[in-house]
Amino acid sequence: MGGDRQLDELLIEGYGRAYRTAYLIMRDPSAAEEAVQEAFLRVWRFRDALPEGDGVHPWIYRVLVNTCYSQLRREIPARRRSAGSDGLDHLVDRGSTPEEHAARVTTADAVIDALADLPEQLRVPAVLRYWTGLSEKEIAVAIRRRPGTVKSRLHEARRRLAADPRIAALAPSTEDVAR
Amino acid sequence: MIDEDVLRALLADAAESAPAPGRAPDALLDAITDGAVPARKPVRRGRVLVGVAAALLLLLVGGAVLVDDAPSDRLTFQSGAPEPTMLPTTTTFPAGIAGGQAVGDVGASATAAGSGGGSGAASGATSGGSSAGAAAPSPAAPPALPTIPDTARVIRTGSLELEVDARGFERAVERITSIAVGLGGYVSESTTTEFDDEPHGTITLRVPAGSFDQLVLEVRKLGDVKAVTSKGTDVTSQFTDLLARLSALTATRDRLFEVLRGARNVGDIIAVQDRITGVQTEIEQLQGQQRLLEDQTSFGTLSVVLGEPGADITEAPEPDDGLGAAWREARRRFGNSLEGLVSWSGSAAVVLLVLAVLAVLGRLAWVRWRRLLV
Repeated sequence: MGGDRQLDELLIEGYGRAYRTAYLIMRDPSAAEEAVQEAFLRVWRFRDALPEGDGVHPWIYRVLVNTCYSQLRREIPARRRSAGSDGLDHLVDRGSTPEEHAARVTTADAVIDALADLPEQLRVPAVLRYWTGLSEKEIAVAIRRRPGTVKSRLHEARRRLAADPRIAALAPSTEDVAR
Repeated sequence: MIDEDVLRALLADAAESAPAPGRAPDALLDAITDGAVPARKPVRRGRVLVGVAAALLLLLVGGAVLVDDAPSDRLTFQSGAPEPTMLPTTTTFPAGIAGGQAVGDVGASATAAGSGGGSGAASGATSGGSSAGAAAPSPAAPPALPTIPDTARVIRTGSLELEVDARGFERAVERITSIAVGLGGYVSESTTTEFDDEPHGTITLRVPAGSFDQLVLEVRKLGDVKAVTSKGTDVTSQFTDLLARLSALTATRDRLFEVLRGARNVGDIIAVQDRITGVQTEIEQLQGQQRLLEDQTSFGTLSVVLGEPGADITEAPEPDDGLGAAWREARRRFGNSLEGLVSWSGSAAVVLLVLAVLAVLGRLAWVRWRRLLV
C-alpha cells in the first residue's frame, strides 16, 4: 500500500508542526498532545477517504482543528483556571545564554497570552496561517469556511494583535532581528 | 497593522517554546507504521439511509406499543399503589393529625372542614421525627421498624389551603414569606390577586427538609385550614444505589486510566479510550441524578393556597414528586411526538411516492434522449 506509506511519512514528518499548532490553539501542552494523537488516529482510520494530492494537508489540519475544538469545549476551561500560564513552565533550554533564554520566554509568554485573548474563530486561522503556513485556500478547507471569510478573519486577527500592547512591544525588536 | 513576517517570527518563537512531546507520540506512530489500525471504509450514504429508515420503523413500532399501553392502569401510578422505584403511600387523616405529621417514609393527606388554625399544631407536635404509622406493624413483625436513619433521603411535599381573616390577605402573604425565609427557605413561586373583592393566591415555599414540619405548623396558625396534604417519598434506596454505582464506575474509570497509561498498542489505546468515554458519560448522568435527588430531598416544597372569606380557594396543585412525575411526563411527550410523527408520515409517504415516480420517469427520459444523441 503505497498510499499508506506516504501517509506514514506525512504524519511522522508533520507531527511536530501539528503538535505546536495545537499548542498555540489550546495553550496546553498535554491537551495539544492528546489532540494530535486523537486527530492522527482519526486520519489513519479514515485514510481511505483522504483526498488525493495536495488536498491531504489541509484535510489533516481540518481533523486536527476539529479535535482541538472538541478538547477546548471539554477540558480547557477547567485546566486554564487552574493552570494559568504554566504552559510555559517547562521551556527547554536550547543552549542559549540565560539572557536569550529569558527573552525567549518573555516573547513566547506574551505571544501566547495575546493569542489566547483572541476568539477561537480568529485565533485558529491566524495560527494556521502564520505558524503552520497554510494558504488562505487551505485554511478555508481546514476550518470549513469560504476563502473570503478566512481573509477577513486573518485581517481582523492581525488588527487585534497589532493593537495588543504585548505584541506591539515585541514587534520592533523582531523587525530588527528580521533585518 | 502588524507585518506578516513579524507575526510569523513571533508565532514561531511561541510555538518553539512548547515542550517537546513525550513518549506517547512515538508509540503511536510506531503502531501506525506497524499497521495496527485498520482503515475504516468511508460510510456509504445508501447504507446510512437504510439504517435510519430501519431505526425509524423500529421506533414507530415500539412507540405504537407503548402508546397503546399508556392509558392503561398498569402504567399509571395510582395514589396508594406502590411505584416501582419509590415508596409513596398516601393515607387520609384528620387535619389535626396531618398538621404535625412526622418526617417519614409515608405521606399523609388530610382534609378538614373549617378546623381551627392552631388545632393541628398541638396534637401534631408530639409525633416529631418518628415514623407515621400509615400501617401499624403487626405484633409478629420485626421490632426494628420505621425509625428513620440519619442518612434517609425523603422528598417532602405538601399543600395547604388557608382562609385568612377579612382584609388580612396581604399581611398573611408577608407573614408566610417571612416564615419561609426565617426557616432558611425561600418563595419559589407566588401568584396572588389582591385587587379583587376577595383577594386570593398561591405561594410555593421551599424550606430545608428538616424545617418542613415547622413550616406547616407556622403557616397553619395564620388562618382557618381548609385542607392539608403532606407527603414523604422515601428515595433512600435510589440514592444509595446511585452512590454505589457512582463509586463503582469511578473505580472502573481510574483502573482504565491506569490501563491506558500502560498501553503500547494503538488498538488497545482506542479500545480503552472508547471505554473511558462511555464510563465517563455514565458517571456524569448519574451525578446529574444525584444532584437532582439531593436538591429534592434537602428542600421540602409546600404549596399554600390562601384567600379571604368568600374567595374561591381551589385545591392547590400537587407539587411535582420527582422522578415519577418526570417519567410520566416523558411518556406523555414521547406518545405525543409519535402521534405527530405517524400523522406526518402519511403526507411524507405520498410526497416520496411522487418523487420516486418522477425519478423513474426522468431516468427513462434521460436514457432515451442519450440514445437519440448517439
